[in-house]
Amino acid sequence: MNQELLATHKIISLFEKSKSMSDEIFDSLAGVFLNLNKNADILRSNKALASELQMEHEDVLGINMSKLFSGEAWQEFDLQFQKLVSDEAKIVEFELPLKVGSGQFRDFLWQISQMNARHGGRHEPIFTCIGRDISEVKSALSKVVSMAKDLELAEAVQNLLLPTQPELVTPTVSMAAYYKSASISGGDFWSFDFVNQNTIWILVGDVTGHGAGSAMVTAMVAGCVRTLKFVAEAGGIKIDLPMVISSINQNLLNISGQPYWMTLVAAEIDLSKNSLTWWGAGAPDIFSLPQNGEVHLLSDISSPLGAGPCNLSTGQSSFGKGHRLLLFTDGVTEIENEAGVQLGTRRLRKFMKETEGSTIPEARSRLLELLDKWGGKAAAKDDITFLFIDRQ
Amino acid sequence: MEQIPGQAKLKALIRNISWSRIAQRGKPEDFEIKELLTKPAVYSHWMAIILVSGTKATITFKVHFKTKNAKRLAAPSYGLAPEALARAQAIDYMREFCNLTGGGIKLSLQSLVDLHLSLPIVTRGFDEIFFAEQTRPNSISDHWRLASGESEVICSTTIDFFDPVDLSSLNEEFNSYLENATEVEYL
Repeated sequence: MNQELLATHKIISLFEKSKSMSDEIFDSLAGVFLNLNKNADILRSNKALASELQMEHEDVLGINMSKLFSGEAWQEFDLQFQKLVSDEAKIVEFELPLKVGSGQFRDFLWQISQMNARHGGRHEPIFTCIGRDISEVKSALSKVVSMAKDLELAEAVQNLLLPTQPELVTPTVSMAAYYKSASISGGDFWSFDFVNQNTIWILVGDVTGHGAGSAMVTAMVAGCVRTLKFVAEAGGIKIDLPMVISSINQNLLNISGQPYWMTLVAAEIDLSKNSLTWWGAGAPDIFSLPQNGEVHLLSDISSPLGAGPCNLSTGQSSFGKGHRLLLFTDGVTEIENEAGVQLGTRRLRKFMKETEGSTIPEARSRLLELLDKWGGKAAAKDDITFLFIDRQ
Repeated sequence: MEQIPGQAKLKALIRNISWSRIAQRGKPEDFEIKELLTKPAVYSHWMAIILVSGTKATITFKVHFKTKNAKRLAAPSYGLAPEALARAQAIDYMREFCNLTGGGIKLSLQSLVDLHLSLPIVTRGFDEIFFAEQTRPNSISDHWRLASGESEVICSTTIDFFDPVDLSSLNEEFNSYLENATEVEYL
């Protein structure tokens, strides 16, 4: 063999090897990858289709696409394909089930386009057809839809039991509340009720997590509080807030399976004595702002409900004319800015002082502005609940 | 389109050369040349190509095949059962068949036109669409099947003469060259 022939042989061998490697990459592409002629005959395929059809890779060539679909599915495929053949469309995308070798059908997303016609001499158009198995994605999507329905149901149940009026103005006291769950249904709970003419019960709670489970537990707690409040209003049996809290704790302990904890802050306002008695169960502090005074934090060490026997903190405070309270869940202070920094107690306390002189609805609006500004575009990770209460 | 005198003889000659080359390692009577009734854009999964070319003519010969058929045809040459053959061995057999056929074409036409033989290459059958794009309107083309029992390969050829030529005197039989053909050992 002379030198020129040897050189030619080497370059051809190199070309063949390079081409072969390219072809093997094509063969191994994930998903179905095909080239079709205008009759939808397969001119080239990767190994994925052969694998789906349980055929030899080399035997796929020449098969018409009509053989891969059920009658109705083929009609849909052909309808879409003819849009390309007739130049009505440059690319088509649609979902159709593929009949795989086991006789079952699997959902595929198909995308077909005309191959780049840079070779001007070609007489017949060639089409590129890509098929991605989306059966697992669709199955997951179906589960998500089902879960979303569950969440919507939980939200509906929760909405039946949570207070419907976020604002209340009376000659003696006024209240403005805000509640927003991080997902469709949340784990926060609040209530504000006149038990009698001079006594008000306020509860703000936060069940661990958010979503359907937490929402259902919240609904259970709300139902429990509502029932006991009815009993207290009826006056037949003496019921106080510690009894309500104890009952909530017992209900949480009775839930089998996944344990649910609830942080709770509860307050009883006695308008006749201008006093406030509060109880804490692992919840954030109550912010108390007397008229022309400084913000005090009402808190002590305690444990969340549902963790075991009740371990509450408690205390008393005055609640006279011009006094303002802020009760909230940890979603308020733990909201993060884009740098991951939490709003925190110190900033909220400073803000509370700045609301002095504003009306209750104004204070609520300003806190919402602060939360929006602090949280920015990031979605809230936790439910947010807060109540402003003013003594008139 | 103006036909080259005797072009049918040239087509028949190339068919005969391919037949004699594929049959020379087996029983010639087992092999048949059969017509291919349609002209698909892609004939088969693999394709071996050789170019027989000169200043006055270019002839491309291709054999299109599947691995399983190539193994069946190659097995006697290797003295192995088809299933014992590696794909590379079967492909090399078809490459050599292509080479021998190209050599036969050059030999048969040497009195009419000066031609040179390229090295054969093997590529995927899909590449046929790129060759088809480059076919001239007045090219002579032909395709046929070489069949033996369950095995068959498809052959195709494209012929271009750049100067007027008369092929009427061409002998379409190739058997006379068989005796001179060099038998190749497939190792």
